[in-house]
Amino acid sequence: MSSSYLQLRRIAFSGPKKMAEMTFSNGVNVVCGASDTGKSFLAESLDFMLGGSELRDIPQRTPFGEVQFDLDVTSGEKWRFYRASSGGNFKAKNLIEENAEIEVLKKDHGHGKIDNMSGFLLDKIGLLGKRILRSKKKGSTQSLSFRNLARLAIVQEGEIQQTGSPFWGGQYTLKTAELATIKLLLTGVDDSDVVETKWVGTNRAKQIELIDELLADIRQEIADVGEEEAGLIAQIGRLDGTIEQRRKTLNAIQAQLDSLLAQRRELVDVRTAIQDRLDEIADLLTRFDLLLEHYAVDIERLTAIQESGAMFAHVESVPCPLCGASPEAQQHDAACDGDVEAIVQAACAEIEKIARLKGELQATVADLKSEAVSQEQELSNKNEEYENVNTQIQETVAPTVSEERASFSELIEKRAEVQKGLDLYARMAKLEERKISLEEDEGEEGSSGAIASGLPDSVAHDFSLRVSKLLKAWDFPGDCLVHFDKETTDFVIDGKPRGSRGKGLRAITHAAVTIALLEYCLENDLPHPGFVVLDSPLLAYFKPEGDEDRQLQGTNLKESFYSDLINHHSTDSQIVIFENQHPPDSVLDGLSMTVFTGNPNDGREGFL
Amino acid sequence: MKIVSNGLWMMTSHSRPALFNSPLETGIRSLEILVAAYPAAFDLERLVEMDYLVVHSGDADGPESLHAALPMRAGELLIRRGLIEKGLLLMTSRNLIQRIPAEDGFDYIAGDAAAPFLSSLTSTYSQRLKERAQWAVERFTGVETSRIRQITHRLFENWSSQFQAIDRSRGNQ
Repeated sequence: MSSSYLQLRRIAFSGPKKMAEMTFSNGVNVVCGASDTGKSFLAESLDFMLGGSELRDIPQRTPFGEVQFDLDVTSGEKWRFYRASSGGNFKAKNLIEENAEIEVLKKDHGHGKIDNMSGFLLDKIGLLGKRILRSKKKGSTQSLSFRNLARLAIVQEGEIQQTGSPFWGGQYTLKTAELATIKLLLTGVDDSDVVETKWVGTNRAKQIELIDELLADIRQEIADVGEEEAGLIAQIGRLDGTIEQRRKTLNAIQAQLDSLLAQRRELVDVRTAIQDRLDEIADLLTRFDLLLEHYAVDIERLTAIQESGAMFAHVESVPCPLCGASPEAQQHDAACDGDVEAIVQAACAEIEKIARLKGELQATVADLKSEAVSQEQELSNKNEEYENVNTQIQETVAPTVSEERASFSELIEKRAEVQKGLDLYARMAKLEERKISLEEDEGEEGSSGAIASGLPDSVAHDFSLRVSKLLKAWDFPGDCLVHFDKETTDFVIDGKPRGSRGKGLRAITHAAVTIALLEYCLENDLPHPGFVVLDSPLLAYFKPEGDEDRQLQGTNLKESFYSDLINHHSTDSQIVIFENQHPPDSVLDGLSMTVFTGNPNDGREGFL
Repeated sequence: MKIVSNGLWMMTSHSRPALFNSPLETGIRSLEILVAAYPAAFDLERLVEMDYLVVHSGDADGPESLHAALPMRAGELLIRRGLIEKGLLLMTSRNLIQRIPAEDGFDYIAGDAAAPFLSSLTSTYSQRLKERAQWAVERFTGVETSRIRQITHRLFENWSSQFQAIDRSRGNQ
């Protein structure tokens, strides 16, 4: 099997107005310059583009929204990756195939899948789908992520000088997995076989297994959300502010609408009352007209009675045509209501009475008519008011309310969505916490019963020899006898544990282990990312600490270090070194060098 | 204002019977009808129908009614037949109307002095009365009394004929 390796080619920060880029070639690349010129940020950016979760937010980053990253695979592929500087998923473009579509790569690892950055990169170096041991005791394993490898290939300034083993990041619960990663690189054998045994483990192992499955699901869901937790929290904070503001606006405008509606209802009531009164007046006027008509007829009638009565009085009485009684004997007046004279007189009086009533009624009618006119006027005023209020409601306030309401519920929906994302993170944190506590229990038990794991002795020996050889080549002081202490999982050099040495010595030995791992893998055709990024391996020359470090400065370690690297790394492997000090002039021919002057008037001031 | 107006209404209604539809007034109306009908003679029954038609000519597609429409018109009917009879008696006492016996009872016919007497009346109401009497007589000449009664019954609907029945029973007493 011939392994493929990755080569860093270019990293560029691009913004709407500017672009900052840095290219890398095969072999040894040195980026040197004063402090605060962006060297460490550049190293972190490389890690970020290889799937790191977030990028340090420095002020110089602000104008750049996107990071581009070019990577070659020694098998011949060329890829360009894009990622927002704020994080999230990647986009990948095949630079060889012209018409290839841009692929989206999720930022979170998924076992055996290449739809994510980790799986994509693992696939290129032949490590896709590998499993590494997580718990010695339970025999549980986890999916190998590119992140497990990245920390072995990219060593940041803080890590290079740490006292712990170069093989593990310091988190106790991850120790087994980190060692398993080294074992996988050094032996090419993963821990997939262990899978079977994990089912015979205790309930705890099963619980962890279950939690892992749940975590994988949640990570997938989080990947779909595509936002970091901090981003979501900031977003929900902003949303809450906006919602509160909108609620106030909505309440205010709703109150305005309510008051207008009340006003409209009141106007309707007033209008109805006026209309009722107008109807009543119309009714009364109709009846009064009839009454007036009666009065008129009555007066006419009475006048006729008066006249006919007066005339009638002059007509002579005749003897009764039936019985022959003389008029004198007849008693019409009393018996037959025939007292014509009295009737005439009464008619006169009645005419006057009715005339008076008629006058009164006419006055009443006039009052009613004038009241009707003023009520009509009032009604038309109220109609106008009603129309104004109604127009205001229908054309201005009501649409504003429904608009506000719509955008408000949109905000609420958006907030619920963001909250859902946050809940995912909360669930993930809870599960991880639970898992850690289970693993800690497990770890305690595991430490009591020694289980054969980690590096096989023979491999550890071979690798230790490799480190020893490197140190000698670099003119490291002393005999450079190196052996691997399984207990501390760190190296002992000339009888002194590596971690107990000074900061400068820790840095150079960390570099030695890291480069030894690369060289060991290359020589044995074993998978490895194929490149190494070291931030300040020659720390002792810049910031010595203690006598040991100062001793180092007296040697020609610096020249030997560079010339050895140049001799061994030219084509298929790549070493990127960030340093404060320039490499010695004697080695400059064999390496690519970029200088950040830190001076705006001289060369390149800094990375961004 | 409503109460006041109702009060007005009631006062006029209350004071009316003493003068309106007195034997003098109903007698003059019958006299106008008989003068218009002359030389025909009408019995009491036909005179009652004709009197109604004269007063409410508008209802029977004639000239505008002599009296204004009144919801309580039924009140008049209760006493119309008796009042008309009294009016006829008053007119007979002055020889303005003559009562003549006929096969089926009494008939009434205008006397010789009737026409000159009526022509001396000049009030608006008298003129309108004359016009309607002439219209009613002309309109219903040759129409059987029973047929006329059918028409007035129809105008009054059922309730009015019931009052008329009461009226008749009282008149027959």
